[in-house]
Amino acid sequence: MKFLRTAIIAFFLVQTFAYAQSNISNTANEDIVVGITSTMATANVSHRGTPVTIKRIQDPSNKLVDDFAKTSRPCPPFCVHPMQAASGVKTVGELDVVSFLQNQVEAGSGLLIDARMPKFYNSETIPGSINIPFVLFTSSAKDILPLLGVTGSDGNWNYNAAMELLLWCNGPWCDQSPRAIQALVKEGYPEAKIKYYRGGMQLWKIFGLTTIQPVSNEVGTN
Amino acid sequence: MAKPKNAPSTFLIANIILAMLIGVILWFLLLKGQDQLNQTNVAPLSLQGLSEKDRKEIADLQTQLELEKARAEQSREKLRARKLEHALLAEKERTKKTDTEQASAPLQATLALSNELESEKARIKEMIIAQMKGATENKRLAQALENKNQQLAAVTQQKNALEQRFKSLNSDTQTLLNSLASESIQASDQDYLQALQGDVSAFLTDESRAALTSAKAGDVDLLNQIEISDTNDTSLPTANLRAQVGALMTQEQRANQQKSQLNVLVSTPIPTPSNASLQDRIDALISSNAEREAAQAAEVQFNKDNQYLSSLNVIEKERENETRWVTVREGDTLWIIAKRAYDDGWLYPKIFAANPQILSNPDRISTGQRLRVPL
Repeated sequence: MKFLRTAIIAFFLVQTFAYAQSNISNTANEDIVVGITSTMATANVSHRGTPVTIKRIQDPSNKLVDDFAKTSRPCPPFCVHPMQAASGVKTVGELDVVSFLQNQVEAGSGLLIDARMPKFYNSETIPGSINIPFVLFTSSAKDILPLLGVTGSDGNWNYNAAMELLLWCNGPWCDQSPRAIQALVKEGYPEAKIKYYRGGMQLWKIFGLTTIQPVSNEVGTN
Repeated sequence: MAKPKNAPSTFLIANIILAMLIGVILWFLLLKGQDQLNQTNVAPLSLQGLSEKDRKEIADLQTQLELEKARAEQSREKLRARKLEHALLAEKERTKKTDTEQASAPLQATLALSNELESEKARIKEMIIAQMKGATENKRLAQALENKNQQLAAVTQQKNALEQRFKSLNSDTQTLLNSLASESIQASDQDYLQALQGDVSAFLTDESRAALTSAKAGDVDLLNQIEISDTNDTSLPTANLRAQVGALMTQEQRANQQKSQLNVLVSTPIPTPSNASLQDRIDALISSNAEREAAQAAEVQFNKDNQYLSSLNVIEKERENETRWVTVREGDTLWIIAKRAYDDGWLYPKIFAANPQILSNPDRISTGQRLRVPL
């Protein structure tokens, strides 16, 4: 009889364990139906030391419903932007951003810069980005440049050890990163070390790529 | 209204209930079986009246029972041995754990280092915030520049007014000369007077313009004000300006003197007029100020940024409102969530609209789910 009692309890435990196990395997081996490219299903990067897997939203019927679904905003100032932010500065796309994160940023030789004002950054950003609002480039470049590996002093900058920068903002209708880039070029930052992700948050979101919220905007927690 | 149903947990509960049911049934059956066995044991065996065959069978069964008892005793021994083994294993495990704790000291050090790095990061962030505050200082400077520009505009306006006055005074001089010419003058003087008239005109053109441009004491007051506000700003050559005004004042006195001399037609030596006209000098003054130009360019950039920033405020706020979210808690309904997020349960359809990919059906929300609750 004791044996049977044990058997019942064992049955119980096995059931629970099997259920838990099925849950774990569901999340671990989730089938990627929407990959990033045909050869890249997801991409592993890190945001301030925490690993983040960049993947696309897996529901093929998903649509944007927030403010990034908008077609129109007042122009000026939210106008259609030219392809280049400054002459000599390369314009790049999403795959270049991922590769930049996995290579230059990972190696510490590059920075992915969200050039938007802090509220935008805190609400939602591309994993791996740091926030340097464009106004710092236009008004206090001499304080910012030393943080980017530039040596020397105002008027006599040495850009030999300057980091590679990839700047982005809200998208092709946003002037924040172009302003930052133009201010950098004006200061003498080598154009070859600056890249412009014109698609910005707008295209990142339209592809359903992973974003993070650096400052939680959860309401009603108390 | 929406009720939370959690499909996976329902599955689990069903499994548990089923298992318990099976357990209870089996238990019940077993208890019954044992009761029957006990009853059999209670009745004493009576060997009388049994056939030889039965007796033999009973004897065999008793032997078997003895054997079973011996085997049971053996099993108990084995069980005790296994219990001891388990206790030993547990002891080993405990010892191992203590060892691991000792080995983790370097890990603790690494953690401390990582915390230190975190605080360093926070410090850099504070630095960036401080730099942003610097932008406010720039705004104040731009405002000061704007004030100076207004003062410059006032001076320019004054200059224009004075030029106007110069024109009218110049025509006065012409009238005076004409009236003088019409008077009966000695013929010998006529030629000289004619020649003189040309020179005097030329003289007045430069000299009286200079005088009239600086004319009033009010101008000096204005310039004094500028100087007071500029004591710390070397970009404005106020001292030069003041020196010039002083010179011009003297020139005005001289021009007046000259005018009275003309009235009595006394021929006196005519001072050499200055080569540069006042307009040229003012132009030079304005264009030579490279620093001012740079400051103006900076101001233009600042205003451009400032206008853009105020437009950005609108979409910035919108973005913030769009990214609000709540976590679904045990027992939540859309009504309760709407009450929590908007303070109004009737706004629940807003949550439904904001989460189309999650809420294919408003009755299906599950604990731990994240829902967008835009304002």
